[in-house]
Amino acid sequence: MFFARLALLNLSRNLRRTLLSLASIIAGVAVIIIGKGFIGGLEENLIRAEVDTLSGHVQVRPADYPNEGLAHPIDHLWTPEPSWLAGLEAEGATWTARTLFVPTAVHLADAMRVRGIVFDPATDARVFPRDGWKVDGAIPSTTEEGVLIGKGVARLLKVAPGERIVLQARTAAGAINALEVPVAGVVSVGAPAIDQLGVLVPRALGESLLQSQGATSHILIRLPDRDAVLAWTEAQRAETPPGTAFRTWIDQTAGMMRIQKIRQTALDFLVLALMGMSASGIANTVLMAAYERIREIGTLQALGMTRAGVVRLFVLEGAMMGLVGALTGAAAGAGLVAWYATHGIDLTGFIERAGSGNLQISAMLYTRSSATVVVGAAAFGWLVAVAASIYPAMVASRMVPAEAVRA
Amino acid sequence: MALVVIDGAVKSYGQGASEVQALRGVSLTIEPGEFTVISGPSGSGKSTLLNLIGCLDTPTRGRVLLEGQDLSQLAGPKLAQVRARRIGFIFQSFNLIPVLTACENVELALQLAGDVGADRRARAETALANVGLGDYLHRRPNQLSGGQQQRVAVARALVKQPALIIADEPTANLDSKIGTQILELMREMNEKRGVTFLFSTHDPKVMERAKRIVTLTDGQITSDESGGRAGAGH
Repeated sequence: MFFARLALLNLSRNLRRTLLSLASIIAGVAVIIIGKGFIGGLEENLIRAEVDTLSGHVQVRPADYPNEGLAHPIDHLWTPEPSWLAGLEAEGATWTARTLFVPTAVHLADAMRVRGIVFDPATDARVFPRDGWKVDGAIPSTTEEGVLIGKGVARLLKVAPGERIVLQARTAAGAINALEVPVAGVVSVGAPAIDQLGVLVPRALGESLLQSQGATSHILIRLPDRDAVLAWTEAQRAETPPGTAFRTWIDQTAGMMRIQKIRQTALDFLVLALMGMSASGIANTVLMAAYERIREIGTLQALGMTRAGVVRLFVLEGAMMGLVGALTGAAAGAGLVAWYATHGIDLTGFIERAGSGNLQISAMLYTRSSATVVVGAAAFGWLVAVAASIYPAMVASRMVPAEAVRA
Repeated sequence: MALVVIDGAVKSYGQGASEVQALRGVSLTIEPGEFTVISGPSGSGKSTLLNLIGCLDTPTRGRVLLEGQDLSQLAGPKLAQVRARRIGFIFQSFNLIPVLTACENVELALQLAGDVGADRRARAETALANVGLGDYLHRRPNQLSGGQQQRVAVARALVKQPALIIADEPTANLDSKIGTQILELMREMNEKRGVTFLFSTHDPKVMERAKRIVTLTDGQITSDESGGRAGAGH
């Protein structure tokens, strides 16, 4: 305790210098926590945007179905066996059927290719929660009620709820079909794939347009535990309907996760650079302290302090500085991440400026709080401070007592 | 048994043509209870000799024995242990730790001597009271006069009851009156408690009070006056 107090008092000698060194540790630790919180939050955001609006936890679809882009062929539609669907529910999963297709939506002189989604009004909400949906108008459930269009489609086609549009699409047999349908509502679900390009068509109307009675392109399944998806699909593999294949949310988000890994690596480099700067700041502080206190080091040695004791004293100073910096940085970083984990960051403006219908990202980004990250970052910051003080401590301990005492 | 025995100590710095011999075969014995001054002009080897006796350095050749123990055979940590327990230092510039109070500065010596007793603080306070600083326990060095700081240094040297106190120009930074008071204090400790003092100094006041004066010139002892000027009635 005596030497801990001495180390603390020594740190208070040049408070401004100590605070500057502390600032670099605080910044380093806070950046780790905030960066990980944002990247973790973005990862969750991307996964949820995909899972909650388009893919569910597991898709069952034609084996040769394309994985990416706006190509949604309907020439391999299939009809699931009721007993197989009942089996899914017996396993605790919920399911719904959707058929993806690419119609052209026409209103007056304006036309655009859109992402058509034939949905089942009775079961769709079991897999795709609608608590974040903002609907101007109503969600249709019958042919007469018409379709639900994304707000981007409404803007481009200059169409409002109650007006009518024409949907033109190839049928399952390859013919061209077109229907004039009312717009029941304009929706914003917080995911560009639907908000920018989506047209949601109730099953009865969709089957009429595509001439696909009873058939579907996708069965989309939601599991009680998202993380159990690999074990679940493995167990279900033997039951896969002929000509279809499973695609899990992990497969579906793999491309985005690869980009996330790149972001993570970039953050790691940034953190490494920041902590390198912190380390050099601390090493400089402790080294300057050592050179300013040559006579004191000599006195301590004359009074019987060993070289190891001198090293311990200076490392203790670095460790204390590191502890204060790490705890402050952890508190600041964790506080900020916790705030945004609760209140979220509204990305609406960013998404609209980006304007990509293929970018699956929710409008609200909630950072991910993690006690492990906070503790790990604080421990890392503290260790960097301790390691950085070892070299100057060694320099201090190598001073010749007979000379140092008279410096 | 002699407290300190120096036997043919040589201390040289540098190598080959640039070698400088600070001590050239010094032999000296100091008995317990002495109040001895090492005198001599600058560069004569006084500080080097005190460094060897104080375990701050080791001789290039020859031996230095403290209480019969050959210091030249000891490694760094062992020498530190001897310094911590058996030798007290008083420096020209007081050498107090500026962030510690007077009491903590004294306590520091006990801490480094490995004293973990519960009465450590009380012993430090008593040591300061013995040098007349009982009312200044919690003052930092910059809140004390030069004389008071040197008294703290004396208390720090005495508190661990060492075999030998080495005082390197202890009055050089003090005015005449305060310097005399400090010397009287050390002389009192020597007379009443039998503490052995070894000084390095040019100060006539110190030499007047010395029981023995050893003069060094160019790294060799050129005179050794037992009884000294003080003994001769100065």
